[in-house]
Amino acid sequence: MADEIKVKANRFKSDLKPIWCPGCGDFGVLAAAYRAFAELDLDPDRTVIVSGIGCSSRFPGFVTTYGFHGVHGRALPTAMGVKLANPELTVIAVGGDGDGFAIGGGHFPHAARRNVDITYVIMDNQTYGLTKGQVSPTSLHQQRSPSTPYGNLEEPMNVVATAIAADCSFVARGASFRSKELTELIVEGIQQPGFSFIDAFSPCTAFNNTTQSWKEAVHQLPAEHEQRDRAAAFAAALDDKMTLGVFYRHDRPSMDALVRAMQDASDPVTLDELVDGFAIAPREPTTA
Amino acid sequence: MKRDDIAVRLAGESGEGVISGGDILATGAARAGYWALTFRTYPAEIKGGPCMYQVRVGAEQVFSQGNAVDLLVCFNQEAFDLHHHELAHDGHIVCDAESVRVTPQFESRSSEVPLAGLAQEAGGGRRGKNMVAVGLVCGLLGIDTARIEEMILKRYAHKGDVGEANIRSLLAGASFAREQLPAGGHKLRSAEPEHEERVLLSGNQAICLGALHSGLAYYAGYPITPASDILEWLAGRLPKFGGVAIQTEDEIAALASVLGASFAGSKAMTATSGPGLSLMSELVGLAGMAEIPAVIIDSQRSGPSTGMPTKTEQSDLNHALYGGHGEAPRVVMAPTSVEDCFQVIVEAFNAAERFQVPVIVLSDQSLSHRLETVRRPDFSAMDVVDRARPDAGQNGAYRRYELRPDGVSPMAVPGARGAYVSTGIEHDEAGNPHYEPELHEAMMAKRFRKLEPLARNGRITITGPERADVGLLGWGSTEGAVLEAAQICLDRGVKVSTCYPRTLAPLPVERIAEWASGMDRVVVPELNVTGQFARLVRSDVGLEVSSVRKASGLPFTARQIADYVTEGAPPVDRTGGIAEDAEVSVG
Repeated sequence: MADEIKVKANRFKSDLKPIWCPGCGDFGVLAAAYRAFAELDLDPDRTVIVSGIGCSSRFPGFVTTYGFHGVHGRALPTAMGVKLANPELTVIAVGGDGDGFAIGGGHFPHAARRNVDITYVIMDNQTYGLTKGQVSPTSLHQQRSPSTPYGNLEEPMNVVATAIAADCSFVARGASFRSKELTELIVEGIQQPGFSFIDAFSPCTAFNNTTQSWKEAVHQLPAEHEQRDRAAAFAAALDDKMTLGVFYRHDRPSMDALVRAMQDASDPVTLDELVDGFAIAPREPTTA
Repeated sequence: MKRDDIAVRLAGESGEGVISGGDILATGAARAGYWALTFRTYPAEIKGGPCMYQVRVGAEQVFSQGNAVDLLVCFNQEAFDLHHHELAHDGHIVCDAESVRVTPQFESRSSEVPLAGLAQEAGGGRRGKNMVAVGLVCGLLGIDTARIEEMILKRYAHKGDVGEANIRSLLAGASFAREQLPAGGHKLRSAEPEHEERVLLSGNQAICLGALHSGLAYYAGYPITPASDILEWLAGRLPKFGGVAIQTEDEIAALASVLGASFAGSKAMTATSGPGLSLMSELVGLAGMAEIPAVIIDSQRSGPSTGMPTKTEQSDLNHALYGGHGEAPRVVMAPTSVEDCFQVIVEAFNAAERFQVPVIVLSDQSLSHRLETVRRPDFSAMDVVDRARPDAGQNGAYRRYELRPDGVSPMAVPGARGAYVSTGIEHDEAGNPHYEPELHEAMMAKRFRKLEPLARNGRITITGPERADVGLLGWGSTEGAVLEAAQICLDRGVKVSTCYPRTLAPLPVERIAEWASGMDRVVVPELNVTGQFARLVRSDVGLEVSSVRKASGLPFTARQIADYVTEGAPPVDRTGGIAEDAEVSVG
C-alpha cells in the first residue's frame, strides 16, 4: 500500500527541478503535497495549484497538475476565480508568509469569509528568502535582517489565531520536517469543504536558518483538543506558537456550493427576454 | 412651426424627484414613438446637492444631449441660478412659483407654476411636484400622457393609491400647460410610426446584454461610480445563465479572480473606473504575459485621483494604452454610443478569446448612465468567438505557449487534458521559466504579433465625403456630438468627414492615414486636458492634427465642436450665470 502511494506520488513530480536551496523546507512541503495528492488520488488534469510570487510560489512548476503562477500576493482571489468557474476542480493555493500576509494580507479574511473550497498552504519561513532575508510579517520581534539592522521593531503576526478569528473552515499548523503529519493535514484540508488554511513551518536555510531550533521546539496539540471549539482553538493558538496540529474546524457549506444552489434556484431567462425588458412597444404617433 | 427635436432639462435638489421624473419623461416619450437621449449630472454625495436631468426628444434619431436647453424646469432658485445661462435664445423657463425668482432679463421668457401646489391639490402631497413637471413638459411638447399613465400605474402597483395620485399630478401639470402657459414654439413634430423595434437603455445596460450574448459566465467587481450598476445588474441575472457575479474586496481581487476564472475556461469580465484601473495595472500585465483572455470595462470619470466621480472625461486613454510596467500587449476599444456598446462588447470578448489578451473597453460616465433610444440589437448577427483549444487527439507533450506563425497558441483548460503552468514569468513554449535572450525576444514578438490582424480588421466608422475641408477624428462617446457638428458645419458651408476607430490598441494606423489623405486638415476632439488621442495619432500615424479639448466634466455639445471647426473657438462650459444666453456664450 505504502509503495503504491509512493508510485502515485511520483506521478505528481514534474520534470522541472526545484530551484530551492539545499535543505530548504519547501522540499518537505512539496514531498508532503505529492503524497497527499496521491492519497487522495487526485487527477492532475482536474487539479489546479495557484501561487503568487516568492521562492515557495514556484511550487506549481514542480507538480504535474495545472498551475497558475500569478502576481505577488494575489493567489487567493485568483484561486477563487478558478474554483467558482469550475467547482469540479480541486483548487490549492500556495505561497510564502510575505506573499500571503504582507502584500496579500488584505485578501485573507475575505477568502475565509467567502469560504470558497480552496486549501491554502503557507510555507512560513519568517523571512523574505527570494529578496535575500528581509523581515516578513511572521518574523520575530528584534529579529536582525538586512532591512532591520537594529532588530525588528514589529511584533510577528499570529497567523493561526488570525485564521481562527477569520473563521476559516479548517485551521492547522504543520512543519516541513514532520512530513507524515503535514501530509495528513493537507489531505484533511483538501477534504474539508470550504476554505482551509495550513501554516507550514518551512525553514529558510539561506537567510533565517531555524531548522534545528524549530525541530526542537515544535510539539503536537494534545489528542483531546476539541477542534470544533473556537475558544479552545484560540487558546491553543495564543498559548504557544510552536504547536502543530488541527486547531479548528467549522463545518459549513462552501460558497461554491451556495453559488450552485443559487443558480439552481433562479428562474432561467433568455437574453431575448432580458432585451424585452427594455423594449418600447410599437405605438401609433401620438402628437396632439 | 413644430420642432424636430427639443432639449428639456429638469433641475432641482437631489431628492426632489428630478432623476425619477426625467426617467419617466424619457421613457414616456420613447413609448410615444419619439427618440430620446438623456444626460444627467448629480452630486457625488448621497443626500442633497444640485442635480439635473436633460432629455432630448426627437421625431428622428438624436445623437447628443443637445446644444442648449429649449425648456428648463427649475424646482428651486439654485436650479435657475445654475442653469438659466444654458437656455437657448428661443428657450423657455418654467419655474416653481413658490421658490424661484428669475432675473429681470428672463421674465419675458419664463412662467411661474405652483409645482408643489398643483401636486397638493391633486391629492398626492408636495412630493408629487416632479410628476406635475413631467405633465407640464408633456403639455407643452404635445406628448400624449397615456403611456406615462400606464407606466406610473405599473411602477406604483403595490403602493396603494400613490400611482393614482401621481397620475392626477401628471394630468394637473399637463392641463395647466395647455390652458395657462404660452404655446410658444415647443410643440414637437409628430413622430414617425416605428418601422423597427426599439429599446431604451443605458450604456452600462447595453454592455451587460452584449456580455451575456458573448457568453459571460464570471463577473467580479468592486463598487465604484459610474460602473457599480454593471455589478448590480449582473448580480441578479448571471445566476439565471449558470454564472455568477461576485463583489470582491478590491479591484485587484476582482481582476485576479477574473483571470483565474478565465484560466479555468469561463468568459470573464470586470468593470471599474479610473481609480480601479490603476489598481489593476499589474494584473493587466499578467494577463498579457500569461496570455489570459479578460474583458475590463473602464467607465471613465473625471480625474485625477478621486477627481469628480460623477462627471465625465476621456482621460484614461494613456493608462489603458500604456499602464503597467514592462511592455504587455493589450487591446483597447471604445464604444461611441449606447447602440455601439452592444457590438463593441461582443468584439471585445471575441478579441480577448481569439488573441488571448486583456481587452480594456473605455466607456465614460456620460455613456454609462445616459438612456438612449436605439434599435433593438440583432445579436444573431454578432458572431461569438471561443478561444482555440488544443487538439484532443494530439500526441506528445502539450506546449501551452507554442510559437506559431500567427502568435496564437491553443489554450488548454483545467478539467481537460493538457496540464500546464500559466505564468507571468518569462517562459519557454512549455511554460517553464526561462530567461534566454533569444527566447525572450521570440516570446515578446509572439505576444504582439497576435494582434496584427486587429489593426487591419478592427471596425471603423467613417461618415461624409472622401475629400473634405475638415476631418474629425475621435474616439468614444464624442461621436454623437461630432456627427451632429458635421451637419452644422455643412450648413455653414464647411465639408466635414468623421472617422471613429473602435480599436485604439492596436491602432489601425494605415486606414486612418488613408482616410486623412482626403482631408485638408484633421481635428481631434476629446474630453481631456493633454490631448491624449491627438498625441497618439501624431506619434503613431505621423499625422499633424489640431487638438480640441475640454475637461469640464461635461460632454461636448455639437455646436462647441462646430464652432471650433468653423471659427476656431475653443469649447467652454460655464455655470453660475456668467453668460445670459447660450447662443452667445460659446467661444
